[in-house]
Parts: sequence; structure tokens; C-alpha cells
Amino acid sequence: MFNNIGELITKRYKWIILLSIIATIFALVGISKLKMQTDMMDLLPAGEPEVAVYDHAIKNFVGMDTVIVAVEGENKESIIKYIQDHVEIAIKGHGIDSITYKTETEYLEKNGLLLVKEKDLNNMKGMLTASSLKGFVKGLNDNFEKEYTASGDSEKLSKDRVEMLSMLSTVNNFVGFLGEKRASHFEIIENSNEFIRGPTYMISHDGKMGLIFLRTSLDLADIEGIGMMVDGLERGLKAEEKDYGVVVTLTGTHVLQRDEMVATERDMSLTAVVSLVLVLLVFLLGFGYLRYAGLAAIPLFVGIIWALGATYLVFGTLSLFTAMMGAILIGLGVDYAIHVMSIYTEMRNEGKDIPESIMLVFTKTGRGVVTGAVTTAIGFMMFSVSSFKGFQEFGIALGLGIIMTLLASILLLPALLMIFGKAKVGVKDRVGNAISFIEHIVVNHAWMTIVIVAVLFVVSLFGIPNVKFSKNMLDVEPVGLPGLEVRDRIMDKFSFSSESSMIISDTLEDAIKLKDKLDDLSSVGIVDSVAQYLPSKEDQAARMKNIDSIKAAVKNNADTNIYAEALKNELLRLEDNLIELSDLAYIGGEHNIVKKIDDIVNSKVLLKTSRNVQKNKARIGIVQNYFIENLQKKVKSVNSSKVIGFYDVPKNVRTNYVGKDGTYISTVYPKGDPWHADFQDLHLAQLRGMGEKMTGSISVVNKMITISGQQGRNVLIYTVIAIFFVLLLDFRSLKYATLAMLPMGITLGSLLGIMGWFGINFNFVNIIALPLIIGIGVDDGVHIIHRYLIEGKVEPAVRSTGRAITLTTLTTCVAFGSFLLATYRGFVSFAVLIVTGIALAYFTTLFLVPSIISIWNHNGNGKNGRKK
Amino acid sequence: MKKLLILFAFLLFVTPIFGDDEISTKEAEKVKEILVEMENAGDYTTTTGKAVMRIVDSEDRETVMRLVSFEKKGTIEAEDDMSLMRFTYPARLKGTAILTVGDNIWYYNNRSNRVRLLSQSAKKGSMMGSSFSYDDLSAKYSEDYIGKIIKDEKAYYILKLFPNDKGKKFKYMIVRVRKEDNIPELIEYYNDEDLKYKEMKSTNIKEVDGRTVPLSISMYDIEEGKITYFEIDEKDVKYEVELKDDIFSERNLRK
Repeated sequence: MFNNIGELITKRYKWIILLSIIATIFALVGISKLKMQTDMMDLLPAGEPEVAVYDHAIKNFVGMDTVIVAVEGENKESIIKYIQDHVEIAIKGHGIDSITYKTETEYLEKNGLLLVKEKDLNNMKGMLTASSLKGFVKGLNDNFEKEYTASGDSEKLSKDRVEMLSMLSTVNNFVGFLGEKRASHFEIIENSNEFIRGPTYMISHDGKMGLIFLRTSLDLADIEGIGMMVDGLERGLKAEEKDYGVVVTLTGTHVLQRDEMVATERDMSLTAVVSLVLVLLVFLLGFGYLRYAGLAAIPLFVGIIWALGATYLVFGTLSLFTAMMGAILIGLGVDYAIHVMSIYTEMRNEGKDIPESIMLVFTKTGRGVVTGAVTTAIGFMMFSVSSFKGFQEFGIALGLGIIMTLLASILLLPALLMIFGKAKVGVKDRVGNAISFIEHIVVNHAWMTIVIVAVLFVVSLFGIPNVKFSKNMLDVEPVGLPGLEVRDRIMDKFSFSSESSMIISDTLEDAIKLKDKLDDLSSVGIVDSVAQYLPSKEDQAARMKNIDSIKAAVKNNADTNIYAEALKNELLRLEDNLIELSDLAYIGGEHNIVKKIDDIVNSKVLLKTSRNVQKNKARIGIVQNYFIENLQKKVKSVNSSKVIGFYDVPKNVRTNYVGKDGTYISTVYPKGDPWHADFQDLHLAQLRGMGEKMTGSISVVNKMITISGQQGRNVLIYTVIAIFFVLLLDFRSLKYATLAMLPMGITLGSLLGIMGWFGINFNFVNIIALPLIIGIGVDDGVHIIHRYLIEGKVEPAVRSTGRAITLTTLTTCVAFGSFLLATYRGFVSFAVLIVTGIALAYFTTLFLVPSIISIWNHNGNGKNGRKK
Repeated sequence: MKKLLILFAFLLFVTPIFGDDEISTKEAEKVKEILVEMENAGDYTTTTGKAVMRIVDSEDRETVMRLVSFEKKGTIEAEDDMSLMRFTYPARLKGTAILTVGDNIWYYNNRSNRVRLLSQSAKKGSMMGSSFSYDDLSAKYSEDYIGKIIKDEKAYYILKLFPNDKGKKFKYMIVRVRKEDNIPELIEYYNDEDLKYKEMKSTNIKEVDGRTVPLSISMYDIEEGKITYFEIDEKDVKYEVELKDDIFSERNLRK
């Protein structure tokens, strides 16, 4: 068959070139329409509950995907001014449905106490019913002591982190008014209001970051639309940032999707270019002749263009996995060109003419090249049997890609050689000396070689128990994206984790009950639910009685006496409470709370104010009047008679929680690190135990890890079986099929051991390396055995084929190694694994296979060659 | 000191048992024997020592504290076990102390110069933000637990222990006890959903002053993502030293 192909090429080479050009033009049209799809949800099987719930949620809830705008500046005044003056104008015309940058102050002032649990209401009673500042500070102290310091436990402090930081900011301002700070009556009244309903704007505790939430119903599948929306928003929002002295950064699912798309496209281009340059350099070093390096590049390019065109036809988009195909195909595709070129140049140097040299290429290496390509393609194609969509696409696209580059190498390259391969070349054999040394070792010291390989293999095996599967999404995410970096800063300043789980409830009652159940879970930090604004009717009824008793205890006017001595003592008690709180926070690792309290305590504002109460009596009297009378007015007017219903909740809030189909969404933020394996298992088991419909990044990544781990293992098993079957068909000998596979078993075991020794973990991207190492690595053994069977001797098989497989291994390694430059950590970890694996496969094959054949020959079990 | 360590190592919480975990009387008695051996391991009446407590949070931020500790076991006259831990580092915590006498816990903050008797419910919570609870200081495991032997290995007993007190946070714990010295080397805590949420390891087990002691104990709190390491300074551990009762007094806390 290979003779026929050789004849066809030597006779019809111009037609082959013409047909290749036509196919390339068609493929280029497809490539121009190919887009990146970086949404991880898109990689999971459609039948997964997480995907179904996510699809349902994305269609129903406006607030499902939010663009978060972080406004950072030196002080909160400039941040608030930017938000007030600029934001609404800047976002116009960019597909935003709603904007939130203020809390619902009116609703919270009116109904805020109905939202507070009875125990907390009781603890707050002293503050709310105070008729003097002395009474208010006493109530504050009592509250701190009952809630926190009496238990000597920082656990509650951690749970209340957000509220505590907000409360400390309000306390800090309040104490300032009593001291030297001059304040308008508006500021004093606002401070008084903040004790009831929290601050108006979403400003961090240190006053250096403000948040704005923009909601869009733009579908995440609309890749182009997302890119345009985020670009437009970014331009608009950043346009005047310098005028306000702030820095604006965007984050959120849509923004990260855009950023990741840009990063992936950059990774694709960079790795493909670096891979190509390095591969051609290796080629040049191997053959030492620029013309042939250039000729080898042409089928490589053409094969990749065909592969990408086929990917467009089959899938329409590139995923996180298929984005790697350019660089992978450069590394693998060039192997076929190397084998063709290696024999071609050898024959030309022996004085054969061009047609004869091409015919000999097919006779000597055609079968080995095709078998090698088929085993590699099987390595990829086996991914297509996986139910993990990411693997399926990767397998089909790369499997097709291998076939395309093979066809280009065995059809187009010889056709091109018919025109451009006239020159004889003086091949510079730079790898020959090293190969001769290996040849000497494996032929003359076969047993010793086998023993050394066995010892190294056994030593490496001890590392295997340390190999783990990472459950951390950050292990695959890109580094250095502004959207990811600001996400970390937001987490730090607001304790607002961007990783969350969404749970859908069918009715309002279910959503409210769910909030109570979630609050009791040990792994849950914050629950964002409509229940925050709307407690159950029973809870409201119970709280109304408490609120009525609080209202009854509120006087109509502030006292005229400031009770200077008592106020002084309460201020000193407040200082003591803050000190104890900060020590609890210090040991509990609540660094933001420590800093906030230390700032207050170290400024000595409480000490100074307490010392100067008498001196500032008149001013404190004025503050008391404004502060307490406002507090009394607000508490008296608070709702304690009308049970609030869903439609009493402000529309802007309602739309965040209720879907178009009348279902309700609750967002759960974890207490611990969701990417820590033990915590992730615990957290998800608790959430799944709620028996509700759940989705979100944590469960999706967990699902991806579980599926990719299972599927990766299955694909590996299928690959080994399928390749072994192909080898049996090819060699028609169990002995040689087993010999070709043996180095792969040793490679896999050693690789796992090395991973364990060096602390390299699997993740859902690099797991794909294992079947590929088998698919790619087995080629080396196939070529050596084929050459041995043709020549009947080990020496030429090692010398001649050894040179070619050294070059192919080098090109494959530099091509995969180019992923080390990627921003996606998943690509980098993949590169580390596959380069190590392929290098191991190469060395194991080169030392082990010829050694075993040598021993067989020595014992008379070898074959004296199939044919010459 | 050893007692303090083993108690540290042996968090107590509680819930009911039964179902698949029915325990025969014979088995319960055998487990009780092992637990008594654990209590008696390196028995002492008083101990003093110095230790370092390191808390590493989920973001790998580390908080280091040093402390001195005094412990005196209960006697017929004064039944309550007594312990005092006083922080010596960092400066902000220097002098701050925790006194435990029987079921009562006093917390003294040196900076505010206030002593506070902690609420009874505080005992179940975290001790000063660490992964250990105050309850750990008052464990009497032969009295507080019943259980079964899951595995009787050459070097270890693997026990499944259920707390008698139904108010505890955990449903059961799996304990790996070294047969050679009765030290609980590993304790895993499981909640009502059979999910592990805490894990304690004793390492660097050495003979000190005639007693076998784990010089390093770590408690990994999976829910918080926090690990607390409690490491004892080997050269400063002393046993059977004279400790007057007034060391363990509220008045002494302020010294």
C-alpha cells in the first residue's frame, strides 16, 4: 500500500499541492469564525444537575451574573463622589439592566428592627432606648460583652465579621463626634441612623474601596456580546477616574470571561509561535539545512489550518482544552515530517534520485509513521468516549488534528520535495554521538541497563502515595488578570468571597426556611437571600412584641444632662471592651478587625474624650441632643404592627432574588476556603444535604474534578487497550506489542512517583496528559521495533531510528514546553506533566527496548528481520 | 503538663450513639480499660512548662503566641483539676491568662486589666480563637466516652468513641492509640452527617522527665480552614513540682 502512495505522489504531486491549497482556503474561512468559549459550565455534560440548575438560574434571575465595579481611592469622600456623579452616566448604552451602589436605607430604617433576631434585639435594647449618650454607650458596651467578650470566643466574631467591621466604623465616627472632631448635625444624624440600618454606601471598613453592582441579562454564551459590553463599560467607567482620584477595576463572571478569553487567545498565539520557532530550531539543529526546516514547516502549518477548520465545522468554538491544539499539533505533527525527512535526506545522501528517495521513504518508514500517528490519534480519540464535554471536544479535535497533520506530512511534504527537494544535503548529525553511546550501552550491557531502569523505577514508585488530585480552581486559573486580583482585594476588604453556591427554592416560604437552615450550617459564612429583607411571618410576629416593648421604653426627648462622670466611665469601659475584642480577633486571625480596633485604640480618642467630657460638656450636649432625638424618632417610627410581605420589599432588591418563573434564589458564601479539599467536601455535603436545587462555581468545579478524575482514569484504560490492539494488528506478534507497551507502564509508574516526590498534583486540565503520554510515547518503541524487524539488527535500529525519535521527542517537548509561558496555570501544569512524561517515555524506550531485543538475540529468540 | 497535652489532644464533645454502632458490654469494658490507660499514661500530680501556640489560617497567615502553663490535678480535699496558662508573647497578649478550676474558666486581659468569668456555654467554643476548645482542658475520657475497637493492629488500637454528653458538637471520634505508650496519636471528629470536621495529630513523641509526651500537637479545624499547633519546649517541662493552690486563684491572674 505504501508503495502505491509513493507512486501516486511521485506522479501526481502537482495535483496534491493544488488540492491542498483549495482545502486550506476553505479551512481558513472556518478559522475566521472560530471563537473562544472559556465558560467552565460549558465543559460539563448537559445532563448534570448543576448545569441544569445553572441554565435555569441564568435564564430566570437578573442578578445571577453581576459585573462588580471596585472603586479604589485614598478616601471614601472621593469614592462616594465618583459613584454619585459618574457611574450612572458611564454605564448608559452598555446593556446594563440595573445598578446597585446604595443600601435600601428607607426600607431598612422603617423595617430594620423586624429583620433583627430576638436575641440580638434584646442585646440592642439598651442602645435603642437610651435617652442620653451615657445610656447609649452603656447599651453598646453591654451588647459587646453579651455577644462576644463574655464567651471568650472569636468564632462568633468571625461569623459576624462584616457587621462587626461596619459597626466599628460607625463607633469610630461616633466617638470622634464626642471628642475634638467638628461635625455638622447632618453627620451626627447620619451616624445615629447607621446604628439602626448600617451605612448608605458599600464602602470598605478602611474607606478605601467602594463597590457597585451592575446586572445584565446578557447570556454568557454570547461571547462577542460579553466582550463588547465589558470593553464598553470599562472604557466608560475608567474615562474620568483620574479626575476623581480613584482607580476603577471590573470583575465578576462576565468580566472574567472576557479576561480569560483574552488571556487564552494570548496563550494560544504565544505558545503556537514559540512552539513553532523552537520546533524549527530543533529541526534545523537536527538536519542542519534551512531549506528542509522551511519545507517541514509547510505541511505543519497546513495540517494545523485543516485541523482548526475541522474544529470549527464540528464544534464552532474553541474551549479551554481545545485552545491548546495549535501548539500541541506543532509538536506532534512535525514528528511525521521528521521521519519523512530523515529517510529522504539519508537516501539522497546515498545518491538516490528524488522519486526513488520518496519511494524509499514510504518503504522504510511509512508503516511506522502511520502506526505512530494512529496510536497518537487513538490517545486523543479515546477522550471522545468521555461524558465530560471538555474531554470529548479535546479528543475529537486533536484526534482529527493528528490525522490532518499526518496527511499533510505524508502527502503534501513528499509532493513539495518533488519540486524543492533537488538539492543533496550534507546532513549534520549532531545527535549521532550520543546515540552511538546509547547503542554501545544497550547492545553490550543490556542486563545492566535493565537493572538500572528497574531500580530507578522502583525508587520512584515510593512517591506515588503522595499524589493528590487538586480541588483548587486557582490551580488552573490564569495569573495576573486584573479581574482576579481585584477579586482577592474585595474578599479581603469586604469578606465577600466571589466563590458561592446558588440554591433555588420554589416558594417564598421555602426560601425563608432555607435561610434559617443554612445559617445553622457550620461551613456557611453568609447567606444572601430575600429572607434578609423578609423574615417569616412567625418571626416577624414574635419580634413585633419585642419592638413594641422597645418603643414603649423610648422617651420623647433626649435628656438635658450628659451625666459626665458616668459617660466618662462608659467610654473607658468601651475602650476595655475594644481591647479585649481586638485580642480575641488577633488570636482568631481576624486581621481586619484587629487593625480597625487598633486604629481606634492607638489614636487614644476614647481616653482623650473621656478625660475631656467635662471640658466639652456643651458640645457633647449638642451631639446628645441631635443623636439621641434622631434615634428616638427613628425607633418610635419603626414598623412594629404591619407584617411585611414580598411586595413591601423594594423592587431593586426583589428582582435580585425572585426569578421570572416565580422561584427564589439564595446565594451562600462559604466560611472557609472553598478550594481546600477537606473544607470543600464538608461544605458541599452540607449544602447538598439541604435537598435543594444547587449550583455555583464551587460545586461545578468539584463536579468537574470528580468527572475528570473518573473519566481521565477510564480514558487511560481505554487508550492502553486500544493502542495495544493496534500494536497487535501492526506487529501481528504479542511479544513485540508487549515490548512496545512495556516502557509506557514504566513511564506512567515513574511519572506518578516523580509527581509524588516533587509535590505535583493532578488537576482537571493536566489529567489529560496521561493518555497522551501513552499515545505519543509508544511511537518511539514502535519505530525502533519496526526498524529492527526491517533491518534484523539492533544497532541500525538504535542508530538511525534513535536519531529520528530523539528529534521527535525534542520537538514534542519544546512544543508542549511552550505552555510554560501561558498565563493559564492549568496549561502550565499540563506542560510540566506531559514534558516529563514524554521525556521519561523516550529514555525508557531507548534504553529498555533495544536492551531486551539484544538479550533475545543473544538467547536466540530474536528475529532476523522481516524484510529489507 | 502531659495531662494538659493529652487533654488538649482529646477534645470532648457529645451526641448519642447506637444504630449501627451498638456496643457490647464486654467491648465497652475493654475500651474503658484502654481509656483509663490513656489517662494514667505518665501519671503526675503537678506539671509546669513553656509552649508555643501557632495558628495558621486558611490564607496561610500565621499568629504566634508563647505561653507558660501550670497544672495541678485534683485531690481528695480539692477535687477540681486546676490549670493556668499565661501568655508571654506577643507584647499585646503578654500577661493575659486563662485560669480553669473545675468547670469554671476565668479570662484575664492584661491590657484592659479585667478578669472575666466566662459563660458555661463558652466551654464548648473555641479557646481564644484557636482550634482547641476550653472543653479540651477538662476531659476525663474514661468517664466521658464509651466506644468500640474498630481495629486491633499490631501497634495501635483504632477506637470509635461516642461522647456521653448529648450536648457535644461531634457525633463520634475515631482515635488511633499507640499501644506502646497509650498516646492518642490521631483523633478525627465526625459530625451528625458523618463528615470529618476536625483532626488532631500528636507528633514528636518523646520521653521527657521519665514520661512519654507528645511534644507537638496540631488541631486542624476543617470548617475554619485553620490549624493550631501547640508545641512544647522539651527542656522546660517539669513534673511533680510544688504548686501552691493560690497560683490558681483569680487574684493571681492579675500578677
